[in-house]
Amino acid sequence: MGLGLSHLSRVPARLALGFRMDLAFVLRSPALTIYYLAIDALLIPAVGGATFLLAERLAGIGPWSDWQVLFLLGYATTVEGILSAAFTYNVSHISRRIGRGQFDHLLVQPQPLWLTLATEGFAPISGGAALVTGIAIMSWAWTGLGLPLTLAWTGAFAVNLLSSVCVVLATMFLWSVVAFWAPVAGEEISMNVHDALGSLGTFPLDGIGGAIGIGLVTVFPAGLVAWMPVRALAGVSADPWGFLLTPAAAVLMFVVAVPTFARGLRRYRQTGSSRYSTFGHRR
Amino acid sequence: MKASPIEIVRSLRRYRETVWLASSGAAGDGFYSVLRYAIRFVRLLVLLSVWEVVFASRDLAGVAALGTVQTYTLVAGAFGTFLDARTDLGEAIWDGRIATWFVAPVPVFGHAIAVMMGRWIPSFGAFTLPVLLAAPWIGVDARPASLVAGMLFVPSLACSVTIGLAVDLLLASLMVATGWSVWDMQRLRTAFGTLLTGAVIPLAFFPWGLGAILAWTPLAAMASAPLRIYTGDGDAWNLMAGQVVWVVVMGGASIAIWSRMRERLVGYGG
Repeated sequence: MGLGLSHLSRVPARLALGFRMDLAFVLRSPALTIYYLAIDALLIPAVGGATFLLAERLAGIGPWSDWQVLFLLGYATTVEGILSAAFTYNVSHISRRIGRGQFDHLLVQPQPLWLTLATEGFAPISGGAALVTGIAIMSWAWTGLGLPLTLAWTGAFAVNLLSSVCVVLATMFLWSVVAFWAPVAGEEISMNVHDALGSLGTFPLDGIGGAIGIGLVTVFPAGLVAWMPVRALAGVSADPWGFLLTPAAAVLMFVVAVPTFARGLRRYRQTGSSRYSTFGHRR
Repeated sequence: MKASPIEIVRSLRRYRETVWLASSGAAGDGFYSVLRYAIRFVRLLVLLSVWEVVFASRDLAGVAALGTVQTYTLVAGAFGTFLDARTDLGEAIWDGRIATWFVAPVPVFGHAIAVMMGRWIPSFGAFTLPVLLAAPWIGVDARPASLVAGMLFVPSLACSVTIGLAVDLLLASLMVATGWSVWDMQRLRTAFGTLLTGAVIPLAFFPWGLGAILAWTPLAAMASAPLRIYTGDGDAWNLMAGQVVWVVVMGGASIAIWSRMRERLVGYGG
């Protein structure tokens, strides 16, 4: 069985369906949706609040000016916003589905798995508040920094942003493989990884060297969530190749994550979830 | 009839098995526990490094000394679980477990506190103690500013836990009153609680005079006060007095509100 890339043309239809379902959800209870959106818009950027307050008080952190730190926070919020708008319903928190034995629901669908994973979590309205907030913060910082709006910069920005999203997703999928072998212990692992990436991803990580520094851009790539791409985009680093580091890392992460996840999936196809006993009780 | 202190202590025995079960359950998470502690440790190292970068690039002689701030950060990280005391009450309301808690022969919130304390035991042994012991190797002086500061830290931490539990009870009451989800309550507390309590950055580093205002609030009494006492920043007795006031106010208010809200509670789910 191939990858089923011929199904690529079905992606827009699937996303449109996700949009319609999300719209129906919103219209069914507008008050509840406004409440959810307001909570998201406030709380997701608040994760990086400490960094912002510190930067505001000290007119920056290390080589970062306060505007650059604000751009960093806006970028990190936008990455989080894309994840919550496009990969919700536990698609990004895939270890939960694996650990609970719910991966079967994805496998029985009459379409390739990648198509389901790429489109099922699309909820741009109910999950879009953080995205709007992130873009607003970035725009404010972008004005303050006087960054250029050239084709090259915009292209680099878009590629880096998507790369950061890929890195976070790849990392969560990579760690979620644990749940194929240890469904109970690994069920919430993607949540833990996500929280740690989110909280560490809003700090300027300059000056952190050694094993921790390397780990933060490889095994546990919190540095790729926002720090490394924004160093290049906001002019903190003068390295002309800085724009390419995060996309390159995203490709590497993808190359590692896909076969590793596939290996876990092979086991799942053979054994299913060991989370439930033969009597149906949850272990 | 009032219970004597001995009777109160004896009554605590009712929670012994709950504490033990919660403790062994949390320790039995295996890999998950290790990962959780590893993430917390890396986060702590990152915060300590950020302070080094901040002090190396700015003249902060009038604000604080690097050593003091690093001790503050280390102790905040090591005792993070205790400075942000929270029970499972909200989750129990959300998933319906609360219904079984009400039929247990112990007070509902007492049961929730027992579970919380049980989970603290492995956290203290596997994270708090190792971090304090490893402090010299990561270049931080973990000792309190003085013997008195070290001794006062213990009751101050107890006050902090009590205020944290009061906040927990108030948020649970808010859930009952509004029907808001437990996830939003948790995020609300995580986002603003850890940010505005001074658990991540000392209030002295807040802009716009915000730290001076927050110092008068129960938020500061939750983390900033015990950490300032430990590091010898400010008058320890004044800080303690402020905490005691908030324990009385928040404790009284939360119990009164919860007593009303628990009657409106509807348990379902599973």
